[in-house]
Amino acid sequence: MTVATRQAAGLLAALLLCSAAAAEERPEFTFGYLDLSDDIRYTRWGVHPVDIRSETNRVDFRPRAGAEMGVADIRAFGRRAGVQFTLRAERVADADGLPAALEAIRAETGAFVFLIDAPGAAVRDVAAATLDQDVILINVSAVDDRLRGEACAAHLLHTSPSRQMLADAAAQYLVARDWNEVLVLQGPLEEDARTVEAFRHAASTYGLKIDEERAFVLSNDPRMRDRNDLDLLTGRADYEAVFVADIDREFARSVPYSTQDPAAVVGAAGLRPTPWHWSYLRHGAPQVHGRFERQTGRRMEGTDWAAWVAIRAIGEAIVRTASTAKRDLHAYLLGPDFRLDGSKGPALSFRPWNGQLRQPVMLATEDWVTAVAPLAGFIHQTNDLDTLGRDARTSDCREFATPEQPS
Amino acid sequence: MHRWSLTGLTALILALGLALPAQGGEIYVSNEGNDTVVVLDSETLDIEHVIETGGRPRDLRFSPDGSKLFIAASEADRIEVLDLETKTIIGHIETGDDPEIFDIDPTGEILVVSNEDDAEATVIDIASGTIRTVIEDVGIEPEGVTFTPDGKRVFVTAEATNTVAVIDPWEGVILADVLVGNRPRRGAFTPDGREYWVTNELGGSVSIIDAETLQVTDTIRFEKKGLREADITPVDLVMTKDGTTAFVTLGRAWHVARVDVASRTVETYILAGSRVWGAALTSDDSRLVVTNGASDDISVIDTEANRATRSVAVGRTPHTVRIRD
Repeated sequence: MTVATRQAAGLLAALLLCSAAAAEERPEFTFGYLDLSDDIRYTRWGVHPVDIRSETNRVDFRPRAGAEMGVADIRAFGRRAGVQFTLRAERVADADGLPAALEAIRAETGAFVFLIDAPGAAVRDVAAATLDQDVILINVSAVDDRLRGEACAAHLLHTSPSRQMLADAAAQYLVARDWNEVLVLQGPLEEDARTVEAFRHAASTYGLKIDEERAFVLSNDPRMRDRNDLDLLTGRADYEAVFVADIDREFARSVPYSTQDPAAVVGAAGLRPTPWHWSYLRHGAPQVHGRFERQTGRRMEGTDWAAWVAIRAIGEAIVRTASTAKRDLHAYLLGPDFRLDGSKGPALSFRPWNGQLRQPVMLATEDWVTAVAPLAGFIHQTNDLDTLGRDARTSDCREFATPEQPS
Repeated sequence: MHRWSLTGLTALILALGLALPAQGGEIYVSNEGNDTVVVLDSETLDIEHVIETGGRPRDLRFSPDGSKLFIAASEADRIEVLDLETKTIIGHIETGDDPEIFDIDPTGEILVVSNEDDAEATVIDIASGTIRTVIEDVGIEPEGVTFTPDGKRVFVTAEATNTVAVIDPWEGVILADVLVGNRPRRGAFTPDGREYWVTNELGGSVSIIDAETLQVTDTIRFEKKGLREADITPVDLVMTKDGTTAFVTLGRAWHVARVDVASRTVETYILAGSRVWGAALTSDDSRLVVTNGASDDISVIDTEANRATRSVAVGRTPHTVRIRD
C-alpha cells in the first residue's frame, strides 16, 4: 500500500467512523400512513376454505406491509441523507377522520409525506382538505380516474394505477390476441359502472367490439335468472372474450370456464390487470417478492407494490436532490430527471400533468403473469407507458403546472 | 536427478499435447435456462462440450493459473469448479444463498461473491473452500463484483440502492459507498486501475468512478436514433487490454456500444441479439463475444469491422461468456 492510498484509506475510515457516530443523532424523517378500519376492498376470504368468517383465518392484506418494506429498503439512503426513516401509521374509523389524523401526525413528527390507502372518494376529500398544507399525499390504492382528472390536486401523487390504465392493459391484450369481440358483464356497484366506462373507452381506443353489456347480480333468486345465471348471461351473444366488472369479485370467480361459448375471461377474474403479481420472475421482481414474503408471511399484492414504490420514490428523490425539503422533493418527483426502479422493467416516472406514476401493468392469472402491458406494438409518441391511461392531451387535470405538454 | 528429468519430460509432453486444442481457443458460455456450460471452439464456433452444472449457472471466472473455471450455480447455492483439461466438475465451494456474480483476486487466494437476496457479499478462501467473512449491508440486491487490478479492494454494485460499495475484502469492511445511476449492474476497471466504469441498467448510462477519490467524474449516456430510452438497458462492460476502448452491452436495445475511453464518446453501436447481456473479448481483442439472453444465442463481433459475423445457438438463456485463448 502506498502512502497515498494508505492516507486515503485512513481518511475513508475516519469518514465512516464519523457517520457511524452520527447515526445515533440522525434526525427522523417520518412517513405518515393513513388507512381506514372499514374498507370493503380488504374484506376477503381468509386462508381456510370453509370457515371463511373466522377471525383467526383472516389475512391482513393491507398495503401497509409494503410501506414497511419500503422504509427498510431505503435505510441506506437515510445514511447518505443524514436522516433516519420511520413510518407512522394511523388507522381511522371513517374517511371524515383522515384530515385530523394527518394533522396530528404532522404536528407530532413533522411528516409531510403521507401515503393514503383509502377508496377514491376518501382520497379526494383528504386531498381537498389539505390543499393549503404543504404536504405530499401519495395514493397507493384508489384507482378512481377522477382523482387523476377533474378532481386532481397538485400535491396528490398516485403510485396505484388508475382504472383506465388497468382497462387499457386488458384491452391491449385482447387486441394482441385478436380476440376482438367482447361480452361485458357488469356488477351492481358504482365502481363496477366506472370500470365498464373505462373498458368502453379502452375498447374504442384499441378497436375492440363490445357485443353487449349485461348486468349481473349475486343472487339465487329464480325471478332474476336472466341476471344471475351464467348460461343465460353468456348465451345468445357473439364474443371471443368476456370482460367482468366486479369490485367485490365474488360473482366474478364463477365466470371462467362457465361461459356458453369458449371464451377468455378478463377483468375481475381470469386474466386480471394488476400493478404487481408474485409470480413475475423478471427484472429483479423475485428479490422484491422474496423480501416481502420473508417479512410478511404472505404474497405481495398490487397495493403492497404501490405502497413500497411510493416510499422508494421519496427515497430516490432525497438522495438525488440531497435534500429533505418538501419543495425540492415535489419538484424533482414531477421533473424530467426523475427515474425510479420498480422491478417491473422500464424506468418509472410521474406524469407531470396529473401526478400519476407511469408503470407497466401485469396481466395475471391466479399463479402466472401471462403478459405485461404495454404489449409489443402498442407505442406512444413519447413514452410507451403512456399508452396506459389518459395522456397529456386527453387529461382533464388542470392543477399541475406542466411545462412540457405536447400539443 | 532421474526423477527431475522424468517430471520435466512429462511436463514437456503435457505442454505439447495441450498446446494443440488450446491453439484455437475456447469460448465458455453458461446457460441459466438449462443448467449447462457449453464449450465452443473459438475458430469453428462448434460446440465441443456440454457440461451439466448445478441449477441456474450464471457468472463464470477462470482461476488466475488458468487451470480451472469457477461456475456460480445460483440455485445450488454454490460455486462449482471445472477442471479445464478434463472438462469435469471436480468440486464445489459453498457460497451462501443465490450466488450470482463473483470475482477472484489476482493471486487466486480469495473470491468475493454477491448474495442477491441477502444484501451481502461473501469472501471465500479458495484453497480451503471456507467462508472467511460475510460482509453485510452492501446495498440491496448486490450484483456486480470487481476486484481492483491490485487485488486490494473490491467494488460491489447494489441494484436497488443505486450504489457501488467499496470493500476491503481482506479486512472484511465496507470503506465507502458511491451513489451512481439507476440500477447499477456490472463494471470494469481501466487497466491502470484508475477508473471504475459501471453500467446503470435503468439509467441507460455508464458512471465513471475515480478509484482514488471515489467520486463520479463522468457519465456516458447512450442514445441512438430509432431506439427508445426505455429499451437502452446497459448490463455488461469489457475493456480492451490497452484500455482505449470499452464495449457495453445494451440489453433490450439489441446493440453493443463501442466507447472511446479517453474521450468518453460512443463511436458506434453494433447490432447483436435480443437482450444482449454478457460480453468477453479474445486475448488479442480482435473479436467480442456477447450472450443474447432472449434469443438463446451468442453473437461473435469483429472489432475491426464493428459488426457481428456469426451467431450461434448455445442453449436456453445464455448468461455469461468467458474466453480462453
